[in-house]
Amino acid sequence: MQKRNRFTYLLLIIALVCEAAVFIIDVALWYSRRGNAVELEYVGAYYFKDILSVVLFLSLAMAIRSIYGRPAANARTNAWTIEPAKALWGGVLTVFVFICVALFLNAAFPKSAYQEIKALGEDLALSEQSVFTIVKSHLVALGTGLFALSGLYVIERLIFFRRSKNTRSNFLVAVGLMVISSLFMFGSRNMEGGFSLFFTVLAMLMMTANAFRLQWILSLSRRDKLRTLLLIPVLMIGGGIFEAVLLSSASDAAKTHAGTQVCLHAYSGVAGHFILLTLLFIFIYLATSFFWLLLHLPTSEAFEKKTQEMRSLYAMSRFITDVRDEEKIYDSLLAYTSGSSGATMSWLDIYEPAEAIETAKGRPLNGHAAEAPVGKFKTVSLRNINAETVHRFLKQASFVQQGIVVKKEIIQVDDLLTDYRLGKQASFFTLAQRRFNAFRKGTPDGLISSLVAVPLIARKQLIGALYVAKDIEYGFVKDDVEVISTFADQAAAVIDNSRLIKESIERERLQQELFIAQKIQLQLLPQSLPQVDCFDLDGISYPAYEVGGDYYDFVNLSEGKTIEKFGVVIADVSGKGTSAAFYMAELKGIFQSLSRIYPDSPKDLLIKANETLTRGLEKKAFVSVLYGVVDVATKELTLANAGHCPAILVSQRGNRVVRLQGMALGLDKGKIFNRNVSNETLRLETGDVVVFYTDGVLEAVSGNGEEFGFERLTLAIERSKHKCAAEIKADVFSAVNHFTEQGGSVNDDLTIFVIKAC
Amino acid sequence: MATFNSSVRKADNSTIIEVSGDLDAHTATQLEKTIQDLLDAHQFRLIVNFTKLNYISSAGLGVFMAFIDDVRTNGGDIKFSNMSEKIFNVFDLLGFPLLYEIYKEENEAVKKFNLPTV
Repeated sequence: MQKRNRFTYLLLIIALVCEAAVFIIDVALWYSRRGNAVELEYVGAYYFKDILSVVLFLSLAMAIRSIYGRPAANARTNAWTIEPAKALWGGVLTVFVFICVALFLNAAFPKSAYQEIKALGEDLALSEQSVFTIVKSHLVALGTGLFALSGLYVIERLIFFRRSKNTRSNFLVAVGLMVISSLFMFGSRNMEGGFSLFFTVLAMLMMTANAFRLQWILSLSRRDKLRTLLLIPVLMIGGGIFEAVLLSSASDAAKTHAGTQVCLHAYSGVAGHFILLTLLFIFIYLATSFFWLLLHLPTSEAFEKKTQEMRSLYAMSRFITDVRDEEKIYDSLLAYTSGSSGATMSWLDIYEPAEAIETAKGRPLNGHAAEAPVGKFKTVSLRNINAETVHRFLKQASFVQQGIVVKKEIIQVDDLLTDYRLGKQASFFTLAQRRFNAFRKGTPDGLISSLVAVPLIARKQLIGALYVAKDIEYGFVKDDVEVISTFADQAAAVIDNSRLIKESIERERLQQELFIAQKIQLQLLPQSLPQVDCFDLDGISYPAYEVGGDYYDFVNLSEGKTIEKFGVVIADVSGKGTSAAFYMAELKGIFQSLSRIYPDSPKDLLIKANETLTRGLEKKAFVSVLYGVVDVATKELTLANAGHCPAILVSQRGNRVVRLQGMALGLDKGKIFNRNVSNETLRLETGDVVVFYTDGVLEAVSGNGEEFGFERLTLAIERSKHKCAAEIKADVFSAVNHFTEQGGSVNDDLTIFVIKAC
Repeated sequence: MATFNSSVRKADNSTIIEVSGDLDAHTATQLEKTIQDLLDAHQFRLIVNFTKLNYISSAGLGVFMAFIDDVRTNGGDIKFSNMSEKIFNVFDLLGFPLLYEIYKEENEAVKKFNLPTV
């Protein structure tokens, strides 16, 4: 920065020195001319002057670039470093100052124009009227020079705005032609110089070409456009006035000249010409800008609106990623939509399909629920409208919701009063009358006249509807509808997203609950089985889901310390999962208490259990139970079966499926149940194995759809009968697992209990 | 995924529900709805034809238990027909034959419904 500043000062000093030198030369030339030494005039002085002035304006141009070109602190956010309106305003002020100075000079130095003189060898030459003419033309040259160079810099910035491939080269060609045209003026004293005119014409063509680079106008706000549009003519008129003031000091009669052009050329042929061309460039550019602005003024509002829509959409899409709360989304959606469609009223309905309502029966819906053909709408957010008005409107124009639910399409109402969908086609006269009545009475504030309703659709499902309304007729055009539907699509995605997230959170919570339930249910099963003389016991249960309806238990039925008698139960509650798990817990309570009341007769226990259970059981639920009581001393096993899979006895004397009559608990209140349930006592010998199991074992399916069945089960037990109970249990399980390995499955809870007599 | 289907047709005085596929905890609700619709339409003489049923779970059996009281108090009944041996074994094990009439052929059940109730 410091270095740059110093460089700028250096440039300014060079400029100052050059200016002083040019001034001295001019004064010297004037005095030599005054002393009638025209013939002796040293032509080389003009060349020297030109060189000096070129150096002067070059360093000025570089200084200007160095000052303006400094990157602003907010350069990144600002598209340009020079705002056109601001630059124009600066230009206008400068011109105003110029006019004032020119007026002052005219008043202070009346004789300061250029006099036509006859010079040797030339048709026409101009000479200063007084030494003040030199002062004046120097001031004019420096002033306009600074103005022109600054202006050129501004124009360059504007031309380069959103530059395309050729922008830079086009601009450089224009400036280059200006330079070439100026260089032909080298040493000229009469505003003529070789091919200068030719190149001037070429330069003007390139200027015009450059003058159509007006991309910046599109990005201007409407207010800035208006300001710019106003300032351009002001600047031009200001320039005109300045020129007029300068000219006023000359007169045709006295054959004097005093225009900018004259002053500039008197100052220096090359630099003066360049500045003139630059001023011309600025003029052309401003002129095209003016007409372009005029053309774009009417569309600027639409352009701004589109920009606003884009911004809202962008904000909205940012919003999606940030907000997870559905309720928050509702309000913001309405705000964004209203903002970009100019709607006065809007509201959002969430659609609840018919099935969802059925499951939530009896629960009052929050907010207001409107009638719809299938399912229900629930208004979740309102903006500048109250629920009552919405309700009244939807009742009056029921076709709106019908269209949304049935056809899932956008419904547009241009004029509610005369809409053809409101009923049978009314005659023109009736409509006119209706309209007249409405006009006479005046429509109350906040009444809907035109409306756009857009269905919110996510994953092909209707999830709600967005309504935007105005209190004037024909309030929405096609563009508005498009914007609103874009918002609706976004909103649908947002709402769907937040729902999915909510669902997954809920699912996780349920998972957690189920995990707890699972732990508790495992506690309901025997943690360890006691040591019993002459008997080896083991059992296990695997639920198909987290929790299940299978149950097995052991109960000590003897009074003393040593176990002389014990009961073993296995049960299967109909269904699976949570409901089955609850009944399983209930069953445990019943079994634990009843087994001690009926220690001798399993049949009586089942009868009592059926009585107790039937009262508390759901109609469609039932429980199959197999209960056995073992007398340790006699090795007698007494079995009773309530619709459960029969126990399998594997013995030296042969294997047996112990089928017993009986029906499941909970099917019948008692009459039929009691008639059918029976006991059977088996005498076990050492090495005999009795296996209780649930139907999950039998119904385990292999890859080709076969069921595990009795035979495979018996075989598996047979194979391991010489092992201990724990091993038999494990072997049966591995047999089932092996069976289902190749694409098969165990669809039910799986439980097994092994009693082995030793 | 287990597939289940049920179709309803009339035969004389009775309504026949033909079930096919797997009737388990997931698909039981479908059958429940079918039967509930029939009860709502005052059809109380129901015959369930099991010809095409491949599998039935305890939850499937529960469906019939859920409605039987309702049907019988309205003077109707649910009768079963055309069970495969496998399906019958499931019903038999739980003691359903003690509660429901099970027929080999559908028309036997239809005939039974046609008899004047005493």
